[in-house]
Amino acid sequence: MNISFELIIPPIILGILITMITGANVVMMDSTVENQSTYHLQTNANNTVLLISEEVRYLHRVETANGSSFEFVEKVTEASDSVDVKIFKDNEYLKVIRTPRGGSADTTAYFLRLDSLTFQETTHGTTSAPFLKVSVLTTSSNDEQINKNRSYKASAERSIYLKNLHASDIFYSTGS
Amino acid sequence: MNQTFLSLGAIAIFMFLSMNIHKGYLVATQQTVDSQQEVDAVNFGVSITDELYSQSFNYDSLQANYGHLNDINYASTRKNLITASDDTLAATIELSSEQEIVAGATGRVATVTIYRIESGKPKQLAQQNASIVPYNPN
Repeated sequence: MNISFELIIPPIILGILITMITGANVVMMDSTVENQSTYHLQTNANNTVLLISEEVRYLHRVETANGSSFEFVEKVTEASDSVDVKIFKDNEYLKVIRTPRGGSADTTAYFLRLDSLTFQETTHGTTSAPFLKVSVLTTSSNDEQINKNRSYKASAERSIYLKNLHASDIFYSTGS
Repeated sequence: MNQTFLSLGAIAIFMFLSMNIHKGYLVATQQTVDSQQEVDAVNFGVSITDELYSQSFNYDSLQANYGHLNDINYASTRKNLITASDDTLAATIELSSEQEIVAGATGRVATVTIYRIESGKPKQLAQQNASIVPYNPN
């Protein structure tokens, strides 16, 4: 039986070409989705840290600062009323609950794709200056992943200086 | 025979294109990793500048506490951090001499430089400045 390579080889090569082109397009699509997902996750992790550093601006006294929730009392001025504030992770959300003394709670939820959130109160070795160490891990949800078994993650960590608390401690200890 | 050569030529061209697309994919992945490192570096820098601001209440000890952290080549003369993604970051702090920061207030400017330590070698990622003036209750 005679085999005509002239007739067989071109369709095989065409098949290889189609596979290569399709493969290249799949890689480009995957890369675009991955970049977009990781960019969102990194932005969310960083935004979480920024949000928390803004939320603790008027911190007056720390109630609980170790673990996944942070509770404190805030006062805008010495004369103003105290407000109880709780910041915690609720599924993928960062939640901030503000409860003025004798008032009703006001809850704000930020969708930040949180995977874990850790608060730790630390003090500087030589000055005893108080710091709040915030560690954030964000993760992609199933519908943002190309491969359902491979999730994307991003992290952010910052030590926030609790200046109000430091200043009030100094005033208190010096009797000012 | 001509058709075969034409097809082989087309495959060669598409192999070249495919290689470039995969190279682009690798570059994009590398940029994602770099981006995470930059976020970590900036947050590390902000944490250090926050720590330096807290020294306003301890201004006289600023040189003693931070003056020695000015050489990136040794672990003992720099600040070190292992990030959540297991990168090793390090920072040096250069303190200026006393100078007028704002009208009537004298202080020092700290230049914080953040590096990534890769195989023992530092690669600069970010630089930040912090002005520290002694706390004045009046």
